[in-house]
Amino acid sequence: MSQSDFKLKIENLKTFFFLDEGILKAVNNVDIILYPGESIGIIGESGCGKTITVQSILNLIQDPGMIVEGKIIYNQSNNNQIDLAGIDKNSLEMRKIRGNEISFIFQEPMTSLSPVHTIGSQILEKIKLHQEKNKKLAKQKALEKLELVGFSNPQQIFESYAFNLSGGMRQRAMIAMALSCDPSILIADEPTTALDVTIQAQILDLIENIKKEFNTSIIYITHDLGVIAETVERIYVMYMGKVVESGSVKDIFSNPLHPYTKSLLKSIPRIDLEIDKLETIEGNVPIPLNPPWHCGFYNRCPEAIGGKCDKYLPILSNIKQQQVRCFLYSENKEEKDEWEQFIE
Amino acid sequence: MSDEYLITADNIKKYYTLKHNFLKSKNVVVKAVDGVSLQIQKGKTLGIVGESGCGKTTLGRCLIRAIDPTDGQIVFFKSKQDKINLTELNNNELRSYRKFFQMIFQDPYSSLNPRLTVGEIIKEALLYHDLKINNYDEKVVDILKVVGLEEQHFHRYAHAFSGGQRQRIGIARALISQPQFIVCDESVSALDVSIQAQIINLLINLQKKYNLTYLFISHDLSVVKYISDYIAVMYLGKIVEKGEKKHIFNNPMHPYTHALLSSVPVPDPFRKKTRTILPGEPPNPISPPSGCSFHPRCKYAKDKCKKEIPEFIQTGEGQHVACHFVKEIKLSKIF
Repeated sequence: MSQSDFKLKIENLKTFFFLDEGILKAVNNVDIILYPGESIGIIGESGCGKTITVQSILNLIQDPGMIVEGKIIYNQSNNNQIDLAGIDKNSLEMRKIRGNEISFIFQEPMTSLSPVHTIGSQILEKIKLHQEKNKKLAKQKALEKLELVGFSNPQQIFESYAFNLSGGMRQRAMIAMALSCDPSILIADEPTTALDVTIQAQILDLIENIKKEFNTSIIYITHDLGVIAETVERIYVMYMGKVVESGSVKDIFSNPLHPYTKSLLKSIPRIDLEIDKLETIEGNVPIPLNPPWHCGFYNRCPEAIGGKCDKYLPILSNIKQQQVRCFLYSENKEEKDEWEQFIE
Repeated sequence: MSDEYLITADNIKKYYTLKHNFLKSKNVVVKAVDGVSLQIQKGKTLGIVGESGCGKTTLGRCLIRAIDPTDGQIVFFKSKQDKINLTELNNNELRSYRKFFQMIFQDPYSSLNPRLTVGEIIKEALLYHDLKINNYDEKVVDILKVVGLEEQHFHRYAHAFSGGQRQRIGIARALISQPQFIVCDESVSALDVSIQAQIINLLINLQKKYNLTYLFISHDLSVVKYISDYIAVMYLGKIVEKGEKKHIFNNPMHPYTHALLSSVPVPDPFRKKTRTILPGEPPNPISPPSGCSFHPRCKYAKDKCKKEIPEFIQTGEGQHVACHFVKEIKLSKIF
């Protein structure tokens, strides 16, 4: 696939939160590319910037946060390229894309659905806003989508409220809503974390079928490495607001390069293998509040090189098919940006 | 040593009555736990798995009488000779045994009192149980070190700690009364992967050090597999299969266990997917299906399953399975 075939390209994205205590660099220099019909996964522990990265795509960042730098180039179906980071978050242009061409599946189906509107009216609201003004045709479309996500009684679901449904059904309704305008990119932020494994299997299967049928590009965010291994083609591993490693799912699972990825893969209990002792990563996940200008994983890293890892910041460099940000593989250092000079 | 039981439970039931309202004239009974029998050996871990709402937590709480079971017998073997029937004790008598049972909860954010310092939180357990100790504070500091915290943390409040550290405080609070039996209710579910591994290893080390017995409740089957010696699979208030870990995972006999295990995503992209997708969701325990409660979702179900409740059948490997057709059904290997 050539470089210009992409569906979405994030370049050098920086989303910072300006707090009284300092600058929280939630997303710090992230590059992500998504091709049509492809699914990618962003993994990492909580607080590493996964969610803020994808929220930046639709500019859902709230005060005191903002996108301070970078480009988010979205390739529309008519090959028209727009920089989503460059348009105002309340503009008509953004609202036309948000929920219509790029839509979201959130983690908590209970809190992200309205408790006082029926499922049907919530789906209708979106269809009527973006596509079909005719009430009858819009309802027909909503029922179609409910059927698509596996409800055998779409009419009944259409009329029920979120509290009438179980967790798995709510997540299906949520997916029906996300699909209601036939998006070309679907962003699933921990779509199955709150669900039981049996229901999780149903939902993952459903998303997989949708991807095949409509050639939708999907961005998965999860901390469950099992889900990632089964669903996506490429992975981005994030730590402290930066992508520390990326590559195909097979390469990363069979040959992780970054010490963080290595430890992460070894620290999960495996259902398919016998493990004698789980490896742990000492310490806690740090918060990127005024992060020091050196490798973010330095103080937890078993392979840290003193005098180098604690002084400079490595850049993301290509090693075979993978990209890794670590001094074990490349000597190249990142130059301090204007924000760093500003803080100093 | 290994054949010594610490806790045996016989036919435990916990029913909740939903009060009737003006529309419904009859009381509705929810059978949260419906006739569960199990034995836990001293120094071992029994893992309880199942979907949410199957009664895992209720069972765990019944076993230590945090809630009173509706029916059934729980026997606690304090030592070889000293056998105590927990279900027959009244509240006063029970209090002197409470120190032997502890719980570690899921959410380290809501299970610690925000207005007490860490020292006070842990000390509270000592004071409640009237343990005769000369220097409370010294004891608390000792236990803080055992769980990997430091002396300087004694005077801090819970909000000053990260999730993993809070869970360590919860463990310290459970350990201070020198319990024999700990119910871990989703104790590592809310933690990040790297922190989760730290806490799991801590629990295992403590078990070896103090010869603790765990009831480990979790919906994460990979974690349960790593930590447990024995597994019980619950469905709608009943145990459907129980046995040694290796038998349950290598050779599941109940169709539900098989489906549950096969739906766990495996972190190995080279593996061929062999998911058995269970249709539908667990039924509402207010109106459980007749006969075998799993029959509406079971692809092997026959007429007999709709009518008769299956009895436990012991299979060759010491596995107990509640299924009418356990001998006829051939389930594929998953792992």
